[in-house]
Amino acid sequence: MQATQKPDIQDIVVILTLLFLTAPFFLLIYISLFNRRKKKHDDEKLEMKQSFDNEIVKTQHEIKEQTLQTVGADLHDNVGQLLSLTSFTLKSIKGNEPDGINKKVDAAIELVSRSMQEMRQLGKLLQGEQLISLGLNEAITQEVHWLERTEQYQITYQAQNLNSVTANPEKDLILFRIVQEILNNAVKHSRATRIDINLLYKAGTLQLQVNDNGVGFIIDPSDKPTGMGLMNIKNRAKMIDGTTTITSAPENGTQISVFVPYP
Amino acid sequence: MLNYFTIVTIPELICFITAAVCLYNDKSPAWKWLVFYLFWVCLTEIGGIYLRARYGTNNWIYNILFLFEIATIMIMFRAVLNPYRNSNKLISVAAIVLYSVYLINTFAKKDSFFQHYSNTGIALAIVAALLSFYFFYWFLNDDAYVPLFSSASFWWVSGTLLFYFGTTVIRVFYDYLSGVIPELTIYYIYRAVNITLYVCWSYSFICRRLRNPISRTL
Repeated sequence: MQATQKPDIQDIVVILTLLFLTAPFFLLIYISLFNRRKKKHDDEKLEMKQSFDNEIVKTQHEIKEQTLQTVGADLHDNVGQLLSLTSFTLKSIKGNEPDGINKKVDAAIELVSRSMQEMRQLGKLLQGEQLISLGLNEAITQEVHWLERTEQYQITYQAQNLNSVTANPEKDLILFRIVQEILNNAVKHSRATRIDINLLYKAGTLQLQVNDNGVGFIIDPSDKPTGMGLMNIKNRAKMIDGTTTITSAPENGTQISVFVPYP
Repeated sequence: MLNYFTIVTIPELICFITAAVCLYNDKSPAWKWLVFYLFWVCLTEIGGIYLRARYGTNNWIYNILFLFEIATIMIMFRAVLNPYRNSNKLISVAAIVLYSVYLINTFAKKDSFFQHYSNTGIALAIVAALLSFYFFYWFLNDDAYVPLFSSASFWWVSGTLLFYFGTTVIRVFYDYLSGVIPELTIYYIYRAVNITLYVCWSYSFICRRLRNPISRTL
């Protein structure tokens, strides 16, 4: 029978010496690898920031474009028509009908005054694009006023607790564009007649909820957004660390909620 | 004629020349101090060769060098740690411990000044290794990415860790080791680690110089 031999203290010392001599090299290799990961992380962060900045510029451009489109359409559909009518009325004045002159001039004055009112509204809308700098609430209020004046939609807008939080201009810009997209969808695709907008700040989260009574649509079970508009809304919310939930059913309207950590 | 250019003195001289060229105009007093320290190291080594040849013993000159070695390690760790964390208290405590061990070594026996201060060497190796680990802990925890190839602090601490941690066991268990491994082998291992120290330090001085180029005014 062979007795188990205990390792000699000298062997332990030799092993320890080798360990102590080589261990720092492994530590330095580990630090080097860890540092490389740190660089990769930094690069990713930079890339994300660049992508966010690009999105902000894109959003600003889109808001401008949307405003100009609205202004262009209004100039053509309303102001243009009113001025054509004014011109037609003034041209129809005949010198040999003195009784009709006053009537037609009054009508022309009325038409010009309506044109001026329209122009004032357009001016406010153009200003509204800059209103984002005054806050999300102001910008949404202007957008709602503009839609209301068409008298085709019943719109309610409620903002709660917004005064209790410091604004984040970058997030405001993205959120305003989301509101524009949702309203655009409600008007163009859903054919909604009633739209309710709620903006609520609670416990570090800004909640935007828009309900409409439009035609609605079938939600894809895979939770993939069906149209470009909805995809844009989801992507934009994600960019500011937000989440979006969309509820809809045919003939039952659409409800879109966006939750964004704020400020 | 005595040979003053040995495996020990040549790396030290190269490191001193590198320090003198790269650090003489450095903004940091701690890095500048290294020029003086390495000059002292070279003087000690040359003096040590002379004393050994003439009197057979040279321990006391290395014991004086310990005073500067402790100061250098403490000054440098304070300089490299402070960007990450205020470590003045820690460095002060470490310095008090090391100088206490040094004093105990000095007054332990009547003629102890003429014997090698092995306990001071062991204590310094342990403290330097611990401070190196402490530095790397904060280095890893820091969010900022540091390009390692051009980081003077990283290379200085790496050299210090490789030398002091690597030689801790040799210093503590020298008697046991010499029973198993030939003394010449231990000597060459020690020298190899020593050369690694000076290579790392020299590289850190070059990094330091490249980071803080001397302003050229016309």
